[in-house]
Amino acid sequence: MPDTRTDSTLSLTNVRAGYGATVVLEDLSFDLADGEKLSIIGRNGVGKTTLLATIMGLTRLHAGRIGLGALDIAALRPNRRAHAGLGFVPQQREIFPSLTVEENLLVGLRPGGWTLERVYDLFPRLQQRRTNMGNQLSGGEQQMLAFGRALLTNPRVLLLDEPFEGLAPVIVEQLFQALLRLRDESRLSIIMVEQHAKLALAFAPRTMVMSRGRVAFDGASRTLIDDPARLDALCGIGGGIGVAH
Amino acid sequence: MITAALTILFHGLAFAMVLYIVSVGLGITMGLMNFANLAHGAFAAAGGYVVVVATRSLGLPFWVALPAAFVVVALAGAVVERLVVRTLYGADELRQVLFSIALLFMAIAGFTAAFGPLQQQPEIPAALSGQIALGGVEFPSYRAFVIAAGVVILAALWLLIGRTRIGMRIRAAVDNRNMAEAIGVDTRMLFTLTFALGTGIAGLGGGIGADVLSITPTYGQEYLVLFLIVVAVGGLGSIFGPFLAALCIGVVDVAGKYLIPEFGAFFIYGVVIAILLAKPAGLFGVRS
Repeated sequence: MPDTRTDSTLSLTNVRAGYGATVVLEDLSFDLADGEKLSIIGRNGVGKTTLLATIMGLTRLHAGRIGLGALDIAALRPNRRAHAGLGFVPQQREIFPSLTVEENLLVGLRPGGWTLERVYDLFPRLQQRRTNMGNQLSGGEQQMLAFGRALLTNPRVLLLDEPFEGLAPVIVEQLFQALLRLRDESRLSIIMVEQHAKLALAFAPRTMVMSRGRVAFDGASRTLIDDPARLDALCGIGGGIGVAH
Repeated sequence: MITAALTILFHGLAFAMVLYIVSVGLGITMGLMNFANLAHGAFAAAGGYVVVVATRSLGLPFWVALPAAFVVVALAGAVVERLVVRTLYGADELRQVLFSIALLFMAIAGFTAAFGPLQQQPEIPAALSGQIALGGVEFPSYRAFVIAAGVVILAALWLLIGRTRIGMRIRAAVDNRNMAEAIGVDTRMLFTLTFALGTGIAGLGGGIGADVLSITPTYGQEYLVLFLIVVAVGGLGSIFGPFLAALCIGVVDVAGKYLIPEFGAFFIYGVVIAILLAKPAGLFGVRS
């Protein structure tokens, strides 16, 4: 695999990607530093989920480079990208129903700082339900399990796709606190795609706003927190985003 | 009356175990890979021929010939998966069916050329050639061995799929291939291993079950419907479902043919229709 000659943990350069012949992402570039946290927001259908799926290798890459550390991972299959250091929490959680909670956690286990005990410490509920089957969990528990499963692959970069979608407010609060703990206590690089702008801006010091498959804004979250009008303009009023005021 | 019931149960169980051993691998590969492998029975026949050649031509003990059947057919399965089956994952079902039917007919032609059109019987060890008494009725020892072998294979598969890391990965990939890949599971390698395992077990079933389903070049074609019924009724991707389905079909078929022979196979197809109407995904199906 060729050297991409970058100091970033993750770097996308002129990425053009989509599903089959359909192009969703157009000439998209950004870097993510080691340990950096990045929130990505934008209206529905602008390509946020496609971006994460493209980084994971689950879409068709038409052009561009994707670097993970010194590796060019653009031609790698998803499993090789996972081994290279990408962890993925998909939008629909995609828990394995035929596996118990503990098996879901262990199925992708790789050596590293994250252990079963640490995950149970972060999500005690999972330990209580360790012998239940994956399809016997509530939505919130499934989301915790999806987090835990990704963490136990011991990734360098964690990709979170709308982790709070469809969850009750009290569960969202619990999960958000766990995410903040993860943010503050680990050196993990994290990209979180999120519809709730308030949560997204509070989570990461850096936010990227996407529009029609391109980057419309990439900068400090504080800039958007302090300028709700700009946030509304970027994301579109009534675009389904709860704006932080 | 009791003698008749015992006879039906015993021979039904022996028939069921052969159906199970041959079919279970087909259910796993169809559940995992979404590949309709209609040539599966040809791998079972190949296993039967390996045991015949090993015991009759090479003079090897039966207990050496059986594992050899598993290994040889599993290796052949791995080669076929790597060279051709892999190109058909995701292809429409018509292409898969045409391909596997072509493979089946090629196997039939190959077996005929190599072994002739007549039935072949492996050399059975003396210890399994006699009779055993059960409830005052005598039964062939070999069929008791077939029943025991079916139970042992069920237990071994349950341990492999249910209690090992590779089994965990197979179940995960059956549930959701993309997500399994995304957490680092090499599903291509898993497909090859699973296809080899499934065909290897079929080969073992062909060898063990030669006394019940006789080894002829057309074995894979002749019994194909039975294997598919076991998988459809048991459910794709399941270990226990095909076992229950095989028990049901084996015992009902033997009972029907023993008690009302003029109806032939009427009863097993009646049972199949009833089960599939009630549970379209099969008894334990992960996927319909």
